[in-house]
Amino acid sequence: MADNKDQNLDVNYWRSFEELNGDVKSLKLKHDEFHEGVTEDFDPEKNLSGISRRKFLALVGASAALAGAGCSDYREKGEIVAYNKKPEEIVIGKANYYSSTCSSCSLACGILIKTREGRPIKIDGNPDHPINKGKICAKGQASILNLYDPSRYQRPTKGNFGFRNDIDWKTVDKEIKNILTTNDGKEIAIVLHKVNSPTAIKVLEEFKNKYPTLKFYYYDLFDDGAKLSAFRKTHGVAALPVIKFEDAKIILALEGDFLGVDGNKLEQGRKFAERRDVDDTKNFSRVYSVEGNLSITGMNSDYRLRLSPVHQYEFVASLLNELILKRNIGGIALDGVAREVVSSVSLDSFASKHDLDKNVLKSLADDLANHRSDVLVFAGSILNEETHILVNLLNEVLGNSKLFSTTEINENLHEYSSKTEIENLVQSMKNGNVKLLIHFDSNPVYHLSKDFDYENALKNVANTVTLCIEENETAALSNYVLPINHNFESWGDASVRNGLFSLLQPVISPLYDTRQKEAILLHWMNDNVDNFDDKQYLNFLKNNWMTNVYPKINSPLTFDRYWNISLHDGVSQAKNKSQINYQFNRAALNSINKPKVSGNYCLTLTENLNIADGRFANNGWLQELPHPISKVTWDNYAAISHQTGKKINLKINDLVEISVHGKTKIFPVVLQPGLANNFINIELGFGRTHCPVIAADVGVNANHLLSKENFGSSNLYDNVTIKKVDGKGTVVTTQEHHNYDEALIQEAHKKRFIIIEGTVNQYLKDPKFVQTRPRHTLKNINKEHEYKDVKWAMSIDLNKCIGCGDCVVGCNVENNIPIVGKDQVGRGREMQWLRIDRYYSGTPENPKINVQPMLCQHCDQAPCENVCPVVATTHSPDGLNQMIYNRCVGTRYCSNNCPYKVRRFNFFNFRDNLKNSYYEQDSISLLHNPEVTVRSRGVMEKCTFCIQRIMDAREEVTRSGIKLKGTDVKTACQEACNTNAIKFGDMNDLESEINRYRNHDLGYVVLEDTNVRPNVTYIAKLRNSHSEEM
Amino acid sequence: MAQTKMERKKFFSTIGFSILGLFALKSFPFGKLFARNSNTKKNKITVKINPDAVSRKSTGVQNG
Amino acid sequence: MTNSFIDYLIRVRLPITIFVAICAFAVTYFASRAERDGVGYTPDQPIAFSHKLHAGQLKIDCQYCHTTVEKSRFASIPSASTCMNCHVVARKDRPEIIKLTKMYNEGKPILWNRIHKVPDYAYFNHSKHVNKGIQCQSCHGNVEEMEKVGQMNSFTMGACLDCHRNPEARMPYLKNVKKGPDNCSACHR
Repeated sequence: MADNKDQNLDVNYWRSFEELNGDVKSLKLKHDEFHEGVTEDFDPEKNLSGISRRKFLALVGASAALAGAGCSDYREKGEIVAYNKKPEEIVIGKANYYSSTCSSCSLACGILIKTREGRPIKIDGNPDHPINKGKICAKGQASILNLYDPSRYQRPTKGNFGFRNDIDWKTVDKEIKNILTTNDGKEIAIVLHKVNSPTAIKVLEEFKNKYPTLKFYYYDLFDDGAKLSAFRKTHGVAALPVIKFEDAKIILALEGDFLGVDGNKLEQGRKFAERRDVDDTKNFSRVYSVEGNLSITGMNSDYRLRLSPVHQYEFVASLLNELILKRNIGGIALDGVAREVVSSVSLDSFASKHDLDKNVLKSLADDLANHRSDVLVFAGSILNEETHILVNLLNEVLGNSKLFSTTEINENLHEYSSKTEIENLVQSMKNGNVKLLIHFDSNPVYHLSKDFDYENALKNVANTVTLCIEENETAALSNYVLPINHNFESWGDASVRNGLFSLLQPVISPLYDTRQKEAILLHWMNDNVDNFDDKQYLNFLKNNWMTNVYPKINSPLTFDRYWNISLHDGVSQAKNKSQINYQFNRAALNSINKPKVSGNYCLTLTENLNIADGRFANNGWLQELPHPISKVTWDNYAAISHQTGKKINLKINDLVEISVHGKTKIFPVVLQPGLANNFINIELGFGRTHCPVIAADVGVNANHLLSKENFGSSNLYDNVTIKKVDGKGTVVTTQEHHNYDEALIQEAHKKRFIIIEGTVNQYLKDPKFVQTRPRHTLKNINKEHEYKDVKWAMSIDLNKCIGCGDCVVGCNVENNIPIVGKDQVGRGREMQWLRIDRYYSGTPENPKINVQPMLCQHCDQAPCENVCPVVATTHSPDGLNQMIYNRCVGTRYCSNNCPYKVRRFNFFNFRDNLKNSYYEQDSISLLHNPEVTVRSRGVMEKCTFCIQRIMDAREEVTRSGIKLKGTDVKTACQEACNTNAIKFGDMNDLESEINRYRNHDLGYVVLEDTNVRPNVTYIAKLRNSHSEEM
Repeated sequence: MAQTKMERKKFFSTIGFSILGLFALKSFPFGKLFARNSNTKKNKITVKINPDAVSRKSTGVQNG
Repeated sequence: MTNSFIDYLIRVRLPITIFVAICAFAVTYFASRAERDGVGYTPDQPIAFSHKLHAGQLKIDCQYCHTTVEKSRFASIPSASTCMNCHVVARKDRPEIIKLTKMYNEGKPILWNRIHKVPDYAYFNHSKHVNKGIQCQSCHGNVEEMEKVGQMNSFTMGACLDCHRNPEARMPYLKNVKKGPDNCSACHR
């Protein structure tokens, strides 16, 4: 009641009748906050343990301070472990280079292996090697990971069907020697891939002399069989010519991927790029690509026609018809079969039948007729023998022999085995007539067609030995699995061209208890196999060179000096090379039969540029490198065209069952623009079963579709059916599948001037067409940085860039880029600092494709620098955008602001995250480049313009006193690019090449209207079409 | 009163057991038990240069 | 406030508070000593190598043993074989030399305790500094007077930048010395 004093007495507020009536109890209730009895338990004095909160905190603080008193000693800084005896060649902190030869494939390119403190960390091309001239492809770059692969076999094992026990080499040698020397007349079979080493051939020959029942079986999944047998028929020798692409004005590629898997892409790419020089447009080549699959060559061609490869025979015949019969060119009188073939189809009728653009065909025919001897017709290995014979005839008719080297030829040291020989081997195996089967680093269980039934036959052989570096399907079924040295741990030589010899030398002693494969055989020839001499093969090699190579070289030096110099250089060439006689043998034409063409689907089983025949399936860098065209990673797929896809109602990641002559297999589908209709392309090398963990569950094994009949020729299959089945695949791409239906996205890259394209004629008429495009300039609100000394800049020539991805792998190796695995790539978290963007324009049937390597542009007004809350990314006085990992807290604001989206964030410690910390194992730590930080979780990273190399160059000029030049630094991507599309240097140097490219008429920067002022200039792509339009 | 005492007891016992549990989990490598095991014995890797190999002493000829 | 209360405050509370304050300060000072980059850190080494004897008295040049300081990022501790260049005969009866010879013959590397350490994320380059004419003593102190090597200067980033920004003050023997770089990527990659 006392409370009423405070209230407005004019109005009486009441909440209940009791209140209104002035009930004493309810008024008392209003007075108290809580009901009676509720707070009775609360007695501050009673319930606490006697110590107040304040006292408790004080005590905690004091005890913490006193506990800290215990830490009064210096922090230990670890140990420095010096050498006991320092090897002479090591300068700690400086790299040492060794020449060797790459063995990732059989092309034997020369390499320089960069080592630090005795361990190899980077592979680059050997500039002294005449074929690859200082460049090496993605497989070569990534092969360093195979050396340090944690899954490598470390010691010999013996066992059966998965039950393997360790065994030591001495026992192995003794047991195998016993088997070899038992005199029961049974066969010793050795199964090998192509051998390009003359010394290894010699070892094998001597092995056969020692054990006469030895039989050799050579095979490869991709053996150019059809092309080689065609050349044998037409030119008398089963050897592929060396082609002078740099002299060809017009190139017609028929399902031929000379920039990719057909031949030596390093040499061919370099030569191709020589004629795509924007400063020499008069000599620009023109490339026509007629193909069913979309290859790298097709991507970079000036004109492209889609034609299923089963029709290529007829197409070449129609071209011959056009040239010989209609235009009277060639001066070759045709008779008999040849005449019949050529007169059977005309170019016009062929064009109508297959719905080909008649204008393009007319310009093709005109070019062939007008430029004759400057025209190269290049047929891919996938085509059948008859087509190759016709192509050789076409080249002969054109009279372009000057494009084929007369001093060099791609030599083969031996023949491949025929289908019959393999069948006989399998039969002998099944009959128990093979006492010892040696797999010389080959994997026939995986590679051979199931028709051969090799796997079952293998189970019948008493003693099988597989020499391999890591687990494979054949080793899983072998008794003895003997681990071999990686090629960087091996001695050896190679000869792929006449008069050209290169050497392999080990840059590191074997990491594990392994032996070199040739040395194993050599040792088994010794009468006493008790003591293995690891110098025996080296001496054998030196001996072979002394007797068989040194005399050919005519060197004025003693052999020992010559040997050391050859090891230093890596390559040795005979001065006088005999002339190659290329004579076209018309009799070859009499044997051709027109291949039958069914109306059904055609299937090509082709080589994946990075996985090869499956040997790199466990190489994470190569698996994660996106396919140059489809940008698919960690998978293979059935590629079909849009129209075909619509016909069967397919979308990406639907499953289809492909059946080839009775064999079926289910694949996920990718709708690939630019593919011919009724055509399927699948890449081999996937779907490995017995393999290390990275390769497991990757892709589908398309080797199950191989047919025995195609062994030794080509994997072109006709009469294939395709059927949609239920289920979804899990194909993951790094770029979205282009949505043609969305008008906003169509041609967006051209409208926003991300890709600027023109034609050579347009450029000749209007050289400034790139500069006069509509341009916006925003006002500057930031203070501009001053660049007084060096300012680093890069230019990427889109005429020379073929989109192969070698630069990406080079960057990966140089900068310790982690591998993230398929599901993380699916979330867009791939960590590659450099990516190749691929754009389509035009229609899905006839797309024009542009590729653009995209990396940190090191913008002068970098939007990422302004927004970092902890200033972890700043600008250097020489024009670089610096990334400081130890300061970064992982806000990701910088990546948000980057208009090019080139910043990569470590969402996990990816080495720890992938496959149970596979890449955290000890051997991988040897692989890392010690000059580049290995990043952990939570930091942002991006291209640094190889700051470690820049700092190295700066160190060098301080020592030498010469001023720093832009050309002193080569970034890893620039070094890897075999077409030299990437140029890097100091743009403040007015006489430098990079300055010229930065100010080039065709030069432009991407997303110029954001006004971020990138330091990467792109040179617009010119297509060499006949008119100014494309 | 008894409730708060029980709650305090529960709080400290939970914290105490959690810390004990953490140390227990850290000392026994459960991760090893459940991880996919590879049955290769690991050798210690020694890096040794092959004495017969010939290197290029310079920093490598410029490529490209 | 009663007399006894003030009495209590002065006789009990005040000394305790002062004592705790001094303890906390002392503790923090000593605890941060290690944090303050180990200046003065002079650990024992497995072999009691004396720079005072070798570099001071015998006047052996720094670069006779620390050979790569002019060529690479690292100065490199000499291998045991460098020591044995002389000590295969010199003073081979002394206990430390006997220890050294034993380790050398066993092929075991000597595990020296590291004194000067810059964090991993900073990539220091010796050759760049040496080739500019900077003497070893400017950063490492007068090593030729040390029986046991200790860290004499602070190697915090602030200390590096002080010298980079004001090299004339630190190294008056250098003529025409330019400022060192103070952009991040000079050291951090």
